[in-house]
Amino acid sequence: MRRIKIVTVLFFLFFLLIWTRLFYWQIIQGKILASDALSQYTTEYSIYPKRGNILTRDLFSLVTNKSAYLAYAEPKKLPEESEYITKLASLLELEEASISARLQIDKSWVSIKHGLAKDKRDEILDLGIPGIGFEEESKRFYPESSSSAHLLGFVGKDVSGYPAGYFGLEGFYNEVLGGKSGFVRQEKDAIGLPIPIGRENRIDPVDGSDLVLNIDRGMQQLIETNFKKGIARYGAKSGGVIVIQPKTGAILAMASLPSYDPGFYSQYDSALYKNPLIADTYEPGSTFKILVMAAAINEKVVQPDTYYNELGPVEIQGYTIRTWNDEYTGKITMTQVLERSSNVGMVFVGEKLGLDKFYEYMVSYKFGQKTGIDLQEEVSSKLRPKSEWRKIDLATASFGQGIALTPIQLIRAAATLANEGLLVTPRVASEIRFAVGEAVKLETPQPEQVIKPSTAAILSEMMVSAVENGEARWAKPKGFRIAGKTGTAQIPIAGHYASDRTIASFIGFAPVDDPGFIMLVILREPSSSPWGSETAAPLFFDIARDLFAYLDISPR
Amino acid sequence: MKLARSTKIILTLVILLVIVQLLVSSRLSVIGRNLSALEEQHKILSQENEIFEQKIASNSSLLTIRFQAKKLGFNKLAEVLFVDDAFYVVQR
Repeated sequence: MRRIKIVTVLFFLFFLLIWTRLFYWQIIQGKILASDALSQYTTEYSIYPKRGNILTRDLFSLVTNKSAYLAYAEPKKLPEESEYITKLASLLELEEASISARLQIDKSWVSIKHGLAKDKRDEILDLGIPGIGFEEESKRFYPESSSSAHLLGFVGKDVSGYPAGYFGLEGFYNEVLGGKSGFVRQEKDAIGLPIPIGRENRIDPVDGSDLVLNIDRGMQQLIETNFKKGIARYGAKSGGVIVIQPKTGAILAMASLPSYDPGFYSQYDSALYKNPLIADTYEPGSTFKILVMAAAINEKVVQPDTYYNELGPVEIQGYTIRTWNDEYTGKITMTQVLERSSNVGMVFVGEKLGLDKFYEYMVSYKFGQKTGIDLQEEVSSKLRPKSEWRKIDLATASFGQGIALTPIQLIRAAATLANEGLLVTPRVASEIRFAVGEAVKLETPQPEQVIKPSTAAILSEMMVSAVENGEARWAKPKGFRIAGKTGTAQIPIAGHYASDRTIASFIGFAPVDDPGFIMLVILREPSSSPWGSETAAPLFFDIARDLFAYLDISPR
Repeated sequence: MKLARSTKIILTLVILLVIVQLLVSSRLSVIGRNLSALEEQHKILSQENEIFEQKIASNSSLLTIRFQAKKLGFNKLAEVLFVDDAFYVVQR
């Protein structure tokens, strides 16, 4: 009887041991084992979406994709002899020492080089080096090459290693262009092939949408070519050109230099990535006078034929304000104030307008706010509170000094003069085309009336007169009515204006009766001459000549 | 020994089912391979399409057109002449 009891207890203990072990494997280790088993009979992989193309208004791909490969190594599988490194270095165009250092890292996987072309991958595969492999990756391709890098931005990687757009359109429309990744988990057979009737979890990727721009390919190419020549001709350090359709705010072309190659962005100084036309502020100088004059005429405090007696420099709060050439011609009209770009004449206009009204118009022109352009890195300097403005601040601001704007803010405000006083929002993109075939037009905010249409018409004529009789009249194309204004702004350095360093600019629109474009040309520190009338203005007219031919605009 | 009719039917069915299973299994294993091959082919064709798209974009880019035009002897007009539609005369 006792032996039976012992055997029973032993059996019980034996089964308890088995249950304990089963509990351990099935409950405690169950999930891990199930996952291990799953990885043995299933395969998992992500499907990356195709990034959307960026198309010009004629639906040409300004940016598209091309297949590229990442070369990687599994150091533990590499051959003992190091002869292969020489061959690999020569094909990959890398230093032998650099490859050698990478391969000695104690890791199971190391990347060697991104962005390899298919033929290069095939050449390396032909070497048959064990432990060297390739992963497919997508690379952006720029058929027009171009200096429009500032407009486009580039595609890099985010913190998780996924492609992400930075700067310009790639940054602003990253989610639209990027799409969503997909995922597949399916059962596989003994040799790794999928089992068609096996279990499958699939989330299909959503390809990125295409972006259709307002950019006119011909115009973009035309301004890029002319601008490159202009920068070289006038010896400017940097600069930019913006062309806008004044009635809609559509950006037709935009280029700035120095630029970078978005396909090889990492080889350039990161300071070049941001678009200076939307991300850098500057003092607009005399180009700003047209906006102050428009405000004064709109408020009826002056008229084009109102006289100002230009007798000499003006003293305000201990500061002396002079004309650009220190010449004073006595009685001049407001039209002549713009023609001669008289600073003291504009001080008179500023005083007539008064700080309250001046400030009111600055707010109406939306200075101190971003324009809302669809490019990622836009900035705006703040408009100082009205209480901080002194008499001298109003005086200098009336001729464009002591006030900082981005070029896009200036051209947007000036476009009101070519658009019956309406302030539009500048837009680069016009439409999103989804991968499934639908398209959505991008809405732009309703334009706001800043000045009366009659004021805009008066200012247009005053600007025509400034072109016909101003310092830059020698460069103007004959037969065309162009409204414009030169600008030469000194560069503030450590609280003073550098006398020998200027930002030369010209802003104008044409044809005046029905403006097809408004264009701003900026040259930073031109060395051939510091004056806008001798650098930016002739460059503006050179580009305008080509634009007239391109847009079928005939002389009158 | 004589088997009952029902037993014969069951045995026949079992044999038939075994044959069907063997056939289906062998066919499925081929389908898996075919599926892989089709996916690979799809990938290759997509890549080829992408390469063709790139070539079309490159060849129709203004940069290429300008280069080709220059090679063929075309030059940019030094001065554009406009026909005055009011008087039908050429104006410089």
